Amino acid sequence: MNDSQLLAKVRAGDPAAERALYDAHVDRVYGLAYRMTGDETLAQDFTQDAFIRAFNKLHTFRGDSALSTWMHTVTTSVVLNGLRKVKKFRTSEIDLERARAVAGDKRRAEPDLRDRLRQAIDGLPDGYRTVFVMHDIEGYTHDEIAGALGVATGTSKAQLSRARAKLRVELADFAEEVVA
Amino acid sequence: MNDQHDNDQLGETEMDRFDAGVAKAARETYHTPPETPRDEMWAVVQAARAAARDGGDVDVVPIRRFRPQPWWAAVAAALVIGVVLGRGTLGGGPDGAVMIADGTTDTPATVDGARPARTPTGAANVVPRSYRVAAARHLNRTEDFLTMFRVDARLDQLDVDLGTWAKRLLTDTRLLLDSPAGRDPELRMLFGDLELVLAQIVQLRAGDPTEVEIIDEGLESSQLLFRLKAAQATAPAMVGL
Repeated sequence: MNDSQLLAKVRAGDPAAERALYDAHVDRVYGLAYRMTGDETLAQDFTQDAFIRAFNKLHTFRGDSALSTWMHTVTTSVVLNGLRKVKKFRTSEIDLERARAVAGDKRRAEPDLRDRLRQAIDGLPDGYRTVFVMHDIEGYTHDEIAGALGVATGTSKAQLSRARAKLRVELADFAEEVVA
Repeated sequence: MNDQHDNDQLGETEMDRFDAGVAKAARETYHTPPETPRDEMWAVVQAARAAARDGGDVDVVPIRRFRPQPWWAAVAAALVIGVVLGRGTLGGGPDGAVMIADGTTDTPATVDGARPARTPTGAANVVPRSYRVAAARHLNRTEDFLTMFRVDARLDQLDVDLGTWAKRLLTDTRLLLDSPAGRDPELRMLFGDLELVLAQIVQLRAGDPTEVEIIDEGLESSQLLFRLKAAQATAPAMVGL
């Protein structure tokens, strides 16, 4: 079934077509939501909301781009907008994880790469972190990121470059381990 | 000149390798997603779609900032209106319950999106629309409250007025449990679970992290926020709220 056939069926309210559209995109949306929040409940909330809104907005799709591109743009925007509203929540999660790490593993004197990497990514400015997670972890292209964030492609590239530079500094002690 | 160029090239290659190594490590360890709960999420999406088809757009916002404005006045007003309208329409009638052309009544969809079998008019578990409106408003407010409770609990910044708000919500929950809204088995079970959690929050002693943790874990294990959202998404009465 091609995009226009699928779109016609979804617009006609065909539940099977809606499910097919959902299945085609849900892993990627949920993956991004989880990577950004680190919280299953929040990731589910954002993903559900993203699809509800995407289906509700489907009548605005004009066919200027591929349906999958449009779907990714809408759903990712919903996830990222939702994240801005609960930035406070993310901070609490980080504190909670740190507290748990301190309380639960006193034997380890030095943090390992995994801990330092998490701290370094969490410590990136929001814009850098978003682009790094989307591009280097989840495999979004700069065009997709630019579409979802409503910024120029060059901005996405610049933010990724700065994010990587910061991580290089933060993780310099682990250079051998990183490139091994 | 050539040496400098070679050094730059070498540096760039090392940086690329480093960046690639960081990305690989991040993919493997940074908030690695569990298996996508496809069906669970689809049930909520489908329920919201069904509600939208039945009665218009349903706007499900996952996290709403709890606003400590005098919302209890709105809840109380909704309940009073619900009681007044409900009493006026009890015993069946076109305004008392959602009537369907074939002479049956429409009951809310369940959490998994499947609609229970239609029941004959006058069946014991028919909930008049006015009570469903009151219930939907109450669920909406309670979801806001519990969401902010979880966020604030994790930040260790619980509001001093928490107990007061919880007490008001608890009173309204009990009112609804004893009202015709409590006839709906799904709603009744949800109100029952809400009553338990709200009572725990009312009795919460200031500065007791263990109690807060127990409540938080209870919210998680009972999937109360998820069920609250699903119940709202399936209630046509929520349209426009």
